[in-house]
Amino acid sequence: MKKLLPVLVAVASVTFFAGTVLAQDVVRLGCSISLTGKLTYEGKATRDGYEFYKALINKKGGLNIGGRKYKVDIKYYDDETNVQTSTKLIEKLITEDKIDFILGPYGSGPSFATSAITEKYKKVTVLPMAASPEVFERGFKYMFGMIATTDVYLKDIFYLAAQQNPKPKTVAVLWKNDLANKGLADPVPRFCKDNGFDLIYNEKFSAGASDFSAELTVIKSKNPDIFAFLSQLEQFIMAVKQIKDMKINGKIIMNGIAVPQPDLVKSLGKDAEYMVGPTHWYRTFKYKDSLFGDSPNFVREFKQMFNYEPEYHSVGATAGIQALGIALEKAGVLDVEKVRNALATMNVNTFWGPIQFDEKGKIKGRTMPVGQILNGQFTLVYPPELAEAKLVWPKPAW
Amino acid sequence: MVILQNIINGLLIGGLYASVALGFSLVWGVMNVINLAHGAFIMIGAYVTFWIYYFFKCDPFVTIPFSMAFTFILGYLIQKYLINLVVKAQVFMVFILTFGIEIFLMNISNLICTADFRSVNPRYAGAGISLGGILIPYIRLAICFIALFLTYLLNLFLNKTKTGNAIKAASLDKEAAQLVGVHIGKIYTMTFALSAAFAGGAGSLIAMIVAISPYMGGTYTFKAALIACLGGLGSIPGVVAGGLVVGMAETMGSHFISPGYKEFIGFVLLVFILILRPEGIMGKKFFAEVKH
Repeated sequence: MKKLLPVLVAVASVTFFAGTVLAQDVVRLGCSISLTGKLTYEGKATRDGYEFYKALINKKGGLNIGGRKYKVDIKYYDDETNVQTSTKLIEKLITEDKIDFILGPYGSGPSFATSAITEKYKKVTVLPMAASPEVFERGFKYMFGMIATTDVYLKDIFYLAAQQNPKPKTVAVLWKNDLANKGLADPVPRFCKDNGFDLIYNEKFSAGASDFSAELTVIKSKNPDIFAFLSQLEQFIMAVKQIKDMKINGKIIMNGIAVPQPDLVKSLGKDAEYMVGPTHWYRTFKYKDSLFGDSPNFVREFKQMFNYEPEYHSVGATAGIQALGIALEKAGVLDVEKVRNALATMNVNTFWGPIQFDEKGKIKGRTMPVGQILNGQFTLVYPPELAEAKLVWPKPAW
Repeated sequence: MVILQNIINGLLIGGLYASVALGFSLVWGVMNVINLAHGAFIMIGAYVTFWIYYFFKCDPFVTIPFSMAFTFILGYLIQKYLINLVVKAQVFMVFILTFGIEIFLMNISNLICTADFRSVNPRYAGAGISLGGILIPYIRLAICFIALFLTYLLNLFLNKTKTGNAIKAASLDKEAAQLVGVHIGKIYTMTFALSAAFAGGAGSLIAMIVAISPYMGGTYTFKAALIACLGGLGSIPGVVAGGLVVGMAETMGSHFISPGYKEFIGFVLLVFILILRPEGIMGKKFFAEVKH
């Protein structure tokens, strides 16, 4: 034992000092996100966006907070695509894991629920995938949204349709009864009025629906010029198959969420052709910053890391965590109030575009460029300064 | 014209619903097992069709025997080594186990196939018959016929074969069946495997009209439960009746009330039928009485 003692002391000392020297300051972020369940695809894309920022910032030495370098660490929990689970996990992140800065989940519904918890505990949360305006109508002070809200998603598509010749006259809209798609459908009567269209069909369907033949039969009988089917990707894939079965030949067939997602074309092949939808981000965006460079560089580096091309879920998530990172550096301390104030007064230009929040926590001035599936690719057709092609109008018949 | 089209739509989707509920009703009726993993077998059947279609460019209808064979084997193994452990336990235990199996199968599929949405979109998708303005898509028509044919085959099997009669005997009176030489363990395994095979077949059919993902099954488990209760547990003609009633009720409800209440209408219908006829449309006394 006497011989062993010095060895033990030496090992303990080396371990202690090495630990002290190597110990790195870490800023801990928390996230409850859908890694299993119905929204796995969207959840993973969002998580990859966070991870991309984490990898890049840590490679550059971390965040500079008050003159010290902090590595970024993110603690994830899987909410199993269940809003109740999501709220419980956010509470766990705050109360058990003692995390002060929360990264938002995918989707308006989960964002609506989890932000109520972060607000209760006065913790900062960025919500890169919360699009419903209702999320921002509760007077909350600690949440910050990164994307345009659903009330503007379809605005430019309707405007674009009104510029076509011959001008379309009638509109049918069939929408999924959830927070995000309700937000998309609510302003459609106003868009119709503004652009001189006649809204001839406006119905919702329940979230679990898998057959739309009855609704599409009625829509076909009304023969609308513009048809908006508003849902997430899964139901839009089913709907396009049935729209083709029923030979509904709208001059524009649009969706508010799914069109930029590569799985639409992978699933439907040529049947996805000419579908129209808005996007939060596109590879022709001309914004730049020092961390990511320009949009083509972002795409290249992201693809190197994850082996697929990012679309707006990942890119928006990266922008959200980047905004939080900038606020942490600006605040100079890991103090929730100071970081919250840094976000509230933020006015910076990033690869995502200008980031500035209004008093409700919504990002200011974001519009939704319009794209169309052309030759199997989501291609921007509006606004003209970003467009890569002209809108194919009217959509060729099935 | 719109109503006529919607009647046809209701019948076409009703036929598919019948095939979705077939295996679920059989297992509940014979084994008194409420199989919450039923949707997972449908999902696996859909994936078998997708992958064969994807790799071998094979017509999706040709893949049906393969998905049925695959899910038959899977169902056989799951029954023999897992469900047999709790088949005599309380209903609640069976719930927990089958729910666990469903989660396991979903997550395994997620690992192997990823969460990307897939779709089987054959060359002839969208083609159909047009009869004076009424459109009948070929795929939906074929799906409805094949679904009803599978149901007919199962009915034939139960009524005309020795094993089928043994399954029916076990569902009527387990003890009496044992007394006349029916090996209950083997019959249960066969019943569950058959149920999984028919769920796999339904999955192959569904693959052609929906988006395939590891989490697609849950919706169909609930639909199957609704149809099985409505039609009468363990009754094959009852499943067909239940499927058609639900298909028509959803379509007509969507037409006359609102698409938003489609699923609500199905469950309201269930409540009414269970009040008026607790054994279901074609259920019989002694068949599938829930034992605690």
